[in-house]
Amino acid sequence: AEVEGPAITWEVSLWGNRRGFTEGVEALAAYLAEKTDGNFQLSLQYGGVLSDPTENIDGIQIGAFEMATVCSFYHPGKLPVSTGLNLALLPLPTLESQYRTYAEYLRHPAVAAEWATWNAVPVMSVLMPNYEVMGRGEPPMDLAAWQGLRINASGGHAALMQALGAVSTTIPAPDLYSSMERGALDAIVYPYTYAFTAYSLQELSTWVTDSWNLGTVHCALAANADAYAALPQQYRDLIDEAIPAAYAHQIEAYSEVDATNEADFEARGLVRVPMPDDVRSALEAAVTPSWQAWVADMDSRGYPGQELLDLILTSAAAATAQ
Amino acid sequence: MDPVTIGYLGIGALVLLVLLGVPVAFASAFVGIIGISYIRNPAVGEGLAGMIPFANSASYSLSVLPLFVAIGFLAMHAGITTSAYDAARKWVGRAPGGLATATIFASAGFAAVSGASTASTAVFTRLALPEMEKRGYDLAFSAGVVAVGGTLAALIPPSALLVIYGIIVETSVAQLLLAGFLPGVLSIVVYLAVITIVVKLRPGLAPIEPAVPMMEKIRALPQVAGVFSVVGVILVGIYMGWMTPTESAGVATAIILLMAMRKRMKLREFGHGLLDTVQTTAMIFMVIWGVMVFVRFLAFTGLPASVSEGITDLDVPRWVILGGIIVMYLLLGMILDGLGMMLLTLPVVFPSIVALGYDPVWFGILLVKLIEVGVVTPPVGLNCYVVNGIRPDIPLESVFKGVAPFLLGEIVIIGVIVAFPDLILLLPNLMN
Amino acid sequence: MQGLIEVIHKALGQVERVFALAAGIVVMGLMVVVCAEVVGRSALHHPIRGSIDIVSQMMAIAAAGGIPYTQSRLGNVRMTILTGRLSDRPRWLLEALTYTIAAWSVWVLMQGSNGFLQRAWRSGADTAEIHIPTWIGISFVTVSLALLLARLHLQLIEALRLLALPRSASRVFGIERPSAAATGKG
Ligand code: NA
Ligand code: NA
Repeated sequence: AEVEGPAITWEVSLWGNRRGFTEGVEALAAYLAEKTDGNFQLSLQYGGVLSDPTENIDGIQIGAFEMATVCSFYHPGKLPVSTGLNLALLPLPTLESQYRTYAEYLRHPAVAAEWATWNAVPVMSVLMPNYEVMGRGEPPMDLAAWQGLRINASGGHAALMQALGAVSTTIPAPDLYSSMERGALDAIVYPYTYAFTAYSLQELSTWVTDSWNLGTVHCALAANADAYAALPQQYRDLIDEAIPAAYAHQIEAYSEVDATNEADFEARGLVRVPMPDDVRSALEAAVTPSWQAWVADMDSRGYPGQELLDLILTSAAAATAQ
Repeated sequence: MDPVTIGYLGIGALVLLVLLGVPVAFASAFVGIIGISYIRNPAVGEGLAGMIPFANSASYSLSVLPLFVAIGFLAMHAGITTSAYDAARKWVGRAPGGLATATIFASAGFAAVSGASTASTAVFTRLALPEMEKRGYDLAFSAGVVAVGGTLAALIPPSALLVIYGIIVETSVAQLLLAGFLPGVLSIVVYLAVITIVVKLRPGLAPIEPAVPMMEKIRALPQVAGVFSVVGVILVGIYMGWMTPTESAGVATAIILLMAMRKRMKLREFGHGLLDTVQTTAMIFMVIWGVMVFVRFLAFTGLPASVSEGITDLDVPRWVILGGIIVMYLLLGMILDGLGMMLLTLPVVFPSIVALGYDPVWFGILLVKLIEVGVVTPPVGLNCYVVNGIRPDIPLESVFKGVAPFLLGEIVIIGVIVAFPDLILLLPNLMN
Repeated sequence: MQGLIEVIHKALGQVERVFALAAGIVVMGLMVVVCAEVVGRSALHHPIRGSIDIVSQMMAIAAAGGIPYTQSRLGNVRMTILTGRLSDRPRWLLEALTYTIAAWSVWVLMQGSNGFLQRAWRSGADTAEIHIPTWIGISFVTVSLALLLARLHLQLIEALRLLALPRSASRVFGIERPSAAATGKG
């Protein structure tokens, strides 16, 4: 083997099926197995058979499995500082700018400390494309057209939609299609493009926002700290070596899916809605208070809120400039 | 020891405990905890298992279950079910095996307000069985009719089993509920045919009923309105996409509750309705908790993946594999209850079904039908246990004997479901 | 002994009933929340914020609250073909085994649920949309498990008593034997 070492198998708790979201860990597993001739294995357990997404971090803490995907938006109270990366409209237009920014932020002592309380190490981030809005009916070309639209959105995105005058609701994902088809819902805010096609929403839609980059949510592939520390040094180095390749693979997987989906959207004649100036200023007006509310929340919990927000924004600016 | 072997040993231990009479919920939790503790360590066994009771209950999608159960019990305690049976009896009582036929019709009506097969059987064991007995019907035959009629509740929406299936395999619950409707109707037709044939062959089983004047028949009809309004709300609400399945269940519960209040249901009856609801809900969730512990254990052993790969690598036509899966479920149905069976097997079976190119909605219907055959076959036939539990004077063997002729009918129904998937998918496809 | 068991049986039964009724009322609460959401969304154009969070947390109570009550009424799915054919002593031996297994499993579940509760309490675990703390639901579940554990222990002790005195009547298992003269003994 290229990298020699003991036979180690890590159990990895994932939910759902294999998809763009899980291509990063798939690539990581493949890389580790290849370089060690199968001695270092990640046993990927899909379908939430080891844990539901909300308890993955608990599972890591008690050592039930060595690794899992953890998303702070499922349980903001469990990882409050990490929720900064879920703020709406963060200026992270590309997946590359995302992972660079995430890596900077995860190194901040306050973030590292909160993961450490869970006996966890965020090994890498799980990338998720920026959110866009897809909907049916007359494409909303100006701010007035958003008034009263019924839109499925959650978290910071719900606040953005309300700022545009829309009514935001949260409907369980499997029910989205029928709700939209029968007119109970006009539009949906989701990661672009794969999440829309996962529920066939493009079949019902007539328009989609064009690179509004409404922001996304952060998830990490985290490891149990003891298990991570117990790895031989050459395996930890191998993980570090594999991460860029894993990101590249995930980004490639997303772009392949996007190419197929966008061709499909075009064939269906979906109108691409650009961001008009009045919408832009409405969104920006809404975003500043929501960021400040997060800063205030962090301050009240004893974290340096403004410093953390500034870190995100400066890292994002640097990452985007690269 | 090889982990997959540990997985098989775990399954063996589970089957043994179930045969010894340990409830499925406890047997699966017990083996699961020991298995996880052995493969990982005892702290993980305790920690992982201990999160399940909360984590696998606190779910929006699962909230449809107690509501589906509540509709049925409130309908019963408000006397709506009695009215339905009364109407069915007045209209079809004169047919051969008339009261049995009426029981099937009323069970179908109750199926439309009840999500749980055992609840339905419990209701008609108390309601219809004494009536048939009074008229000199053969007791085993009557018990069989009640047990089989109860299974309609799992196919005709609302259905708890279809909801749980949809959640596990991440398939639209709305589509599943719609898909269950036609096979439910088909089952009714087949059961009626079986009753007619059996009674023609052995008229001694069921004496003919006296005639009922037309006016009386017509007067019985408005009583059934409650049942129809619930079917309407659930089917139309879901079909039109106005409501999620949970919402349609909530609205239907509210309608039945209002009707019950109009019929002046007493606070005491309301309390009993709630307690019955809670008891059935608790039964369902205990099985979910226990089996989920076991499923976590199996995942650690790698057995599900190994079996799935084994199945899809088989070099035989896919219908052979499907046939094997059907036979496996019929055999499992002999020792496990339906919900436990579904939760245990889906992580293994479902990936193979998808890999073989079968439709998930269609398979859900087939699976629920197979499970419902399981609840009326010996030795573990939950519906038959329910009849025997309420009427200890009717031995379990007699109930199973009464069910026997219907099993031929079930084979026909399973054949139709397998042969005509388009028929099953007709309603859900209309929705798209 | 029998007298003491019956006293505990009765007292426990009242607590179980209260929990079950609480769960039943929560089911009605679910109905209200869900109907309000439908009306709010379709008629008033104003959905309830966080209704998914509310419903999911209520579900923990609806599911767990009735479990001790159900166990007290022996309402669990089980196979009785074998036990039903056994005569008294072998039967009570098997029953004792069953309740030992059940009590041990529930004890582990309760311990684990308690650990989960401690983590949720310390970390401030909450729901995604409107930040309902999850320790409320988890503590209800943990207490329900503790109540279930008490019930299973009572059933275990009663099964052992019947193993010793197979002809005795038993309130816990609903066995009436008017002729048996076992009252007050053991
Ligand atoms: Na039903
Ligand atoms: Na069976």
